[in-house]
Amino acid sequence: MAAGLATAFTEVAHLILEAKAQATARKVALATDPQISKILNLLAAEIGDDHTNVCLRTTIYRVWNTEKDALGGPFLKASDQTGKKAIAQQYATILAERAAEDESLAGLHHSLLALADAHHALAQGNDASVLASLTVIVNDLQRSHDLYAQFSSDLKSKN
Amino acid sequence: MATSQNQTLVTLYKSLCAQQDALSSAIQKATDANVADAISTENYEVMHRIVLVQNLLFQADSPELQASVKAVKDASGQLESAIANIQRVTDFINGVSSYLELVDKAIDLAKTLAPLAA
Repeated sequence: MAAGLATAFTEVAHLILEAKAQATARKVALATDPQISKILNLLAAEIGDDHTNVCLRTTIYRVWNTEKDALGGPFLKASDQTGKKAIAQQYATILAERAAEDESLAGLHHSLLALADAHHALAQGNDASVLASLTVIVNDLQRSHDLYAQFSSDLKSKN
Repeated sequence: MATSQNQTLVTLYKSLCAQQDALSSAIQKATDANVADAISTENYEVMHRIVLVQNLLFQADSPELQASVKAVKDASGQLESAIANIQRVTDFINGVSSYLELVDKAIDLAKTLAPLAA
């Protein structure tokens, strides 16, 4: 899913850069800007700006919490320190996965809003703002990629 | 594309989250592994409904749905009592089941409603 989204964002960013040079594209962007802005802002709101409000981030955060809580019984059943330590390591891994996924969704939320800004800037003929907004998206994608790479590396070193 | 979430379903979502928080807290306090496992099983049941409601947040509202969610809210107090008396595991499981029966009715109603218009 993350790779597909990254590709989609990259393609949209390229399209906006191509459209930047075309007067017709700018007219279309101007005509569609309110709707595009509404759709992107709604998508961003559905993902959510934290993991406590009613949104996708909260739901996913709670899925991880359920996995974390499920370790309570096994921890109590573990009869020695080695067993308890293994459960504690699983607990730590779940917390890390929860944080990584939440950070990734936060990046997606940020990118959707930046994409709306880029489209609006395109519609207004503001080239500097188009580039600034697209830079935000590229940085978000890079941060998500780095986070995934770091998390994968941490998991490999533990196994 | 809907303009906002269905507030009746938002209420249902929040009720489920509150119950899940109570279950999570009960697991952390549990000293009996079997009790912790029993609570965890019910926690997964509640989580499943949270995911379902998340997917329905942009359905239209109706008086029937509002009445159904009100019944869920009214029953949440009984579930909180069941969670408070967690050592009586059978009563606890029955309490969660009764609450989730009402939640499932509301979810089934929401599924039949149209998506909110833009």
